[in-house]
Amino acid sequence: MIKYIIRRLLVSIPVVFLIILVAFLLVQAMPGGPFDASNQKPIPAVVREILERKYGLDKPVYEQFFNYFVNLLQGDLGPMLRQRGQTVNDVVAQTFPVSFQLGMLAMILGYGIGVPAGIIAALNHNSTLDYAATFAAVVGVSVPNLVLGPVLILLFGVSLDWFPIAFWGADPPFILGLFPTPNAEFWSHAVLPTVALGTGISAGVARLTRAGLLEVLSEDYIRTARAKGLKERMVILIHALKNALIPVATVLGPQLAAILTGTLIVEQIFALNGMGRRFIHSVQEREYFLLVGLTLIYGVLLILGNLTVDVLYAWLDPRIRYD
Amino acid sequence: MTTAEKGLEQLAGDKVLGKGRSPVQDAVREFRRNKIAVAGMAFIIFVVLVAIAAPLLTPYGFATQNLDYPRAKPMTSVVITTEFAEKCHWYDTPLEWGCTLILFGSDNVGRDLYSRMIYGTRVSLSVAVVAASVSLLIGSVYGTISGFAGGRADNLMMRIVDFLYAIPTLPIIIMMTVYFQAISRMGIHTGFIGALITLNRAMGGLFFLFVAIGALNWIGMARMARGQVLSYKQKEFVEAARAVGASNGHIISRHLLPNIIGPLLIAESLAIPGYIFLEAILSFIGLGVQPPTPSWGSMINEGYQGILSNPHLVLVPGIALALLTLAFNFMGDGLRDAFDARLRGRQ
Amino acid sequence: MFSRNNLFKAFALLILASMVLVACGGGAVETVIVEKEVPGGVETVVVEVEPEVEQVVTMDGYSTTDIPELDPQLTTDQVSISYIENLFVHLTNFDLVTSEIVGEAATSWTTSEDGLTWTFTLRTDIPWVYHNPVTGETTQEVDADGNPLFVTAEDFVYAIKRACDPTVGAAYGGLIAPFIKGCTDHITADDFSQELDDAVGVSAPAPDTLVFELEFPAGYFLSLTPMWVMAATPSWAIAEHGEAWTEAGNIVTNGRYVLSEWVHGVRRIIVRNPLMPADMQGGGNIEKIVINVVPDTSTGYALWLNNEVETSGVPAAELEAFLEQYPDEADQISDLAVFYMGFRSSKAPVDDPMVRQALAQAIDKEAFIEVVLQGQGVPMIHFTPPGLFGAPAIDEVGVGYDPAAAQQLLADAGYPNCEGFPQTSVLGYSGQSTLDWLTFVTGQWETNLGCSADLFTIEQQSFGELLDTVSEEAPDDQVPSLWTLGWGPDYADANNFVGDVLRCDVSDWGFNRECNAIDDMITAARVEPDPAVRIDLYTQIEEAFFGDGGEHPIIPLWLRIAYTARHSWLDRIPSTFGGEQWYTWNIDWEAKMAAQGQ
Repeated sequence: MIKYIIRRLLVSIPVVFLIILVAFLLVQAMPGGPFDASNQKPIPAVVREILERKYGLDKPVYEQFFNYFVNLLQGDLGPMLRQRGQTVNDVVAQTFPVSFQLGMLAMILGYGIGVPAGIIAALNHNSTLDYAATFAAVVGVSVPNLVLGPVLILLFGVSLDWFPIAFWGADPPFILGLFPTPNAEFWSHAVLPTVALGTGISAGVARLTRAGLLEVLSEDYIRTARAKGLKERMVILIHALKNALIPVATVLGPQLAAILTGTLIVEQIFALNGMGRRFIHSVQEREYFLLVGLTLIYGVLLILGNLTVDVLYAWLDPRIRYD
Repeated sequence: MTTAEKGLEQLAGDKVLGKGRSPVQDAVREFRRNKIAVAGMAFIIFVVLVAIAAPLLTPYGFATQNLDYPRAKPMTSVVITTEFAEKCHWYDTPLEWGCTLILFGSDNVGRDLYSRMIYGTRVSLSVAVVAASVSLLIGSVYGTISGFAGGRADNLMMRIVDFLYAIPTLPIIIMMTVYFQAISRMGIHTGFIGALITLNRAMGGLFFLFVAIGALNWIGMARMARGQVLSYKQKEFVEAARAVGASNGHIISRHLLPNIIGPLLIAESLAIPGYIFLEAILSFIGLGVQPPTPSWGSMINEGYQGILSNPHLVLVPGIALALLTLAFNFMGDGLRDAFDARLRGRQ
Repeated sequence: MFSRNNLFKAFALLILASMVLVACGGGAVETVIVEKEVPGGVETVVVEVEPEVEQVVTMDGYSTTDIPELDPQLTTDQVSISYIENLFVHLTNFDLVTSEIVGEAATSWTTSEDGLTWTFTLRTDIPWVYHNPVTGETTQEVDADGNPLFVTAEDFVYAIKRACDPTVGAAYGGLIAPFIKGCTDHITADDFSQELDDAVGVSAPAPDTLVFELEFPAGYFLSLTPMWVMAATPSWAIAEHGEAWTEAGNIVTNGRYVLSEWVHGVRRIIVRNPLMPADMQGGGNIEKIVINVVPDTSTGYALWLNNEVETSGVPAAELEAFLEQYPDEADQISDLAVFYMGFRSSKAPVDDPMVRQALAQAIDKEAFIEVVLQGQGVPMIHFTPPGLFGAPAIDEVGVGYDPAAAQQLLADAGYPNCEGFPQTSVLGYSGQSTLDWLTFVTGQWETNLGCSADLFTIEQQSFGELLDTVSEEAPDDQVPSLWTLGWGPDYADANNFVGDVLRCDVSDWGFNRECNAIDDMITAARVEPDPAVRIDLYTQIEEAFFGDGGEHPIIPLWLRIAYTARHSWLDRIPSTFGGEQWYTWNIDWEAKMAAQGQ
């Protein structure tokens, strides 16, 4: 297993390089630059040249890429072009924890509700409970975040006034750089965005858990277990659950990717200072270094996530052996 | 009726269907039992018809602004006098007696929401069709070749797939969108590229985007195709075909593809809601269709600013989006259940 | 099997319930551990204590972005400019009541006979201060010998030379460069040069005397002096912290407020500077300003409805409801931005001034504003908006809507009833509102001139791309004939509009105008010292441009006015130039507390 993990990590290095290259080229290919205009007024050509020279944007692309890469290896993600006192590292340190916290909470909510719901539905197959749960699950998957978000704001934030409607409730500095101070204010701010993001996840997970468990429950060894008696039934049910979670684990990887997308929308709607929102904003502003840096981070997260998923997969299914 | 009679009837029913029940017929029967899935499919067919017949169904064009009636609420009917009749038409015939506006309300500049919703189906369906086709095409070809070739070529091709699997698609798509929008304005009007650009403009600036979405999502399809090919490769009829001297191409096209295309189509149809979402998300952040082309996502974006006093601007396209996604989900689930149930026998 | 079901169900419900309960759990209550004496010993008890509510007069607001830049020399945008207005002193200030330029750091000024030398006398009692964000203390900066540091002419010299420094990248340095001797030479050089730096025409012969040497006798130089780009900056702080000198905890300022907290992308807080001379404090009662970043105006508007912020923009879709429900909390504020359509004057068919005038006169701007902008605008028939020195009265000077005249003109130009009018391309920058504008305008040309809307190909590009596309160097056949743009004032003088935008040698806008007598008038108005003569000249210029038979290089369309929601307990005069002067604003604290339910 260790050898497998190391090999995967080694293979990831050229992937990461490719991501950086593609992002860099795309960013350069986008028309318009960061110094064309400010506040819808054009910046005089003279000043534009000065600024481009300052940040090395007048050099040929390969030279820019080389410089960028060298800096990257030293851990420097580059400067911010429109905010002089900040570097990309600063922005990442401020925004990544928020996205991370949101994503984690949504995952916990999603799996915490989805798995039990799927189990209940599967164990009561073809009853009204099952149909209701399945229906709810499909609906949950189908309602887009960008409808759910405003509806939640309208209902729980404005009409009922139960929860605040904007901001994350936790600011830097974070505990260990990643975790918020868990007080009541944080939780009250976190509820609506987490529900907006977690609903889709829990619905998807519920469907998969149900489907997986149903398939496993129809296997012969389960039928035998049913015949045999209570204690053995329990043991085998646990075994069944483990197997049923395999399809759930398979999609954990793409789920991570979906969460990354989902945070983008939720951050926008709830005014959260997360990576997704900064990314959208920086596309319009042509913050070259921030764009490449954030894409890189997303890519690395995805790679690590996929690796974790594969390891989890192997743990769940002893038939799978990596060597 | 006694049990025995019921049983006989059932047997007779089987006979009525014909001698050998092909797998497809089995699946169709199973599918038809799943009411919700059938409903989903019916809804999708309905939406397709609506999209095709859009000019016939809408009293206004999607860009016609009735500046006197902005933000009208749903189900308020306003009879427009003959002055405005020229804007109001039935399939190119202007309606001289005026027409009533507003089934679903109107937006900020008085455009009829109902008409925009109908035209919006075109965008949502286009992304479904184009992205799904591109993804299916690239993925199945790649996966089939890889699975069929086997050995080192297979290994290499799968390594490449693993490679690409880690690329974060959304940031790349966002940046590609900006790039494509610029390309499409470059005013190249000749040749193949020119034709593509014209097509792009006709679709409200989305053609390249859909291609990009499809092109970034073929990987799952490729893996699946490869898996299917691998399992079918061992089967006897392939051996037999080879023994007879059939060429590789023949084997692939005549024997393999028809068998594997089923699961692939199902998997692709389950991915369609994702494409529709993606388009809505891009439109929501302002990177999707160029106005005035309506897309349900861009309508949500426009309406979102006014959600407090005009919730219908968000709810109408939002509900439609949810319904379409629901339909695809139910249909896809049903298809999958139908084919699987056939394999496993009745529960 | 049953028990397991129930177990799972209960478990799931429990998780959900606990989340909801905790979230509803309540506000920030502090717990204090208190030791109580009870018979038999001492007992520790946990007591809940209501935290003290601060009674400092605080203004709460939101902004859609983080402050892009707090460095006065580097700033370009409206958000940053407001902060700089309140954190730093400028040479002069714009009095909101009298609309005149009054002294701020400068107390008086004189001009030489030839108009090339301006001498400013400065006050010497404005301290440089440092605010410690941890302790909350504001202290005066001292130099190496322990002497307290006040703002001197030398600080202004440093700042202005910095704006002309090519390595600094001051965007508005490009604006002042043509005025100040030697500035253009330095700012266009490849690198910093001590020689060129020394040659820049600004000097401080005494700590309270600042002398400018100008390139040409600019009659309107005074209008530039309130600008942020020339505000004094602390050289020692910049030397010490480099580009991070504007962060809270590093920054040294000299204005009415100091920066107390700045969490990027989240929130910033400024508080009053107690060390400011009392006569400069401004008369407002706001001690503390808290601004959060909310990127979405509709969320911000919801905050306003909830009484959590004093002011907010109003999303277009909510405007009608807002005006009905809160008519006395609606302010109409203009930022004096004028939106127009530019012509490529070298390209057919708009190379004919009669065609241009016809197109201009065929547009019913009143209708457009009423319907599309919901009244948030005023039609413009000439270019310079009211309130700027030299601007004609808003409804005088310039041709208005006259469809009959327009048709006649078009016929005279050779396109009777629009026959033979060639395909014309129109470019707008991205956004639905621009599209609405273009759709309306082409609709008007169809209705009033008979030019079918198909004759006009409408395209949209992002703002930066648009500027690239219409640039002067681009060949005419790749440039659209018309495009949309807007222009907002940098300083309070007509030269900023007709001079900086329309003059024939200004290359940024791509109009490709041929130089003619009007440009001579513009040049004359720039250097004319007599204000009355200048006003007259600008009227003539506008008439020559936008009057009947005029050149019509652009079609001015409308002046932007926006509705802002403002709660009644905030009393203020909004500013049009140079950033909001929060130090003059007042809040009725009791009314605000009552509204927030405290």
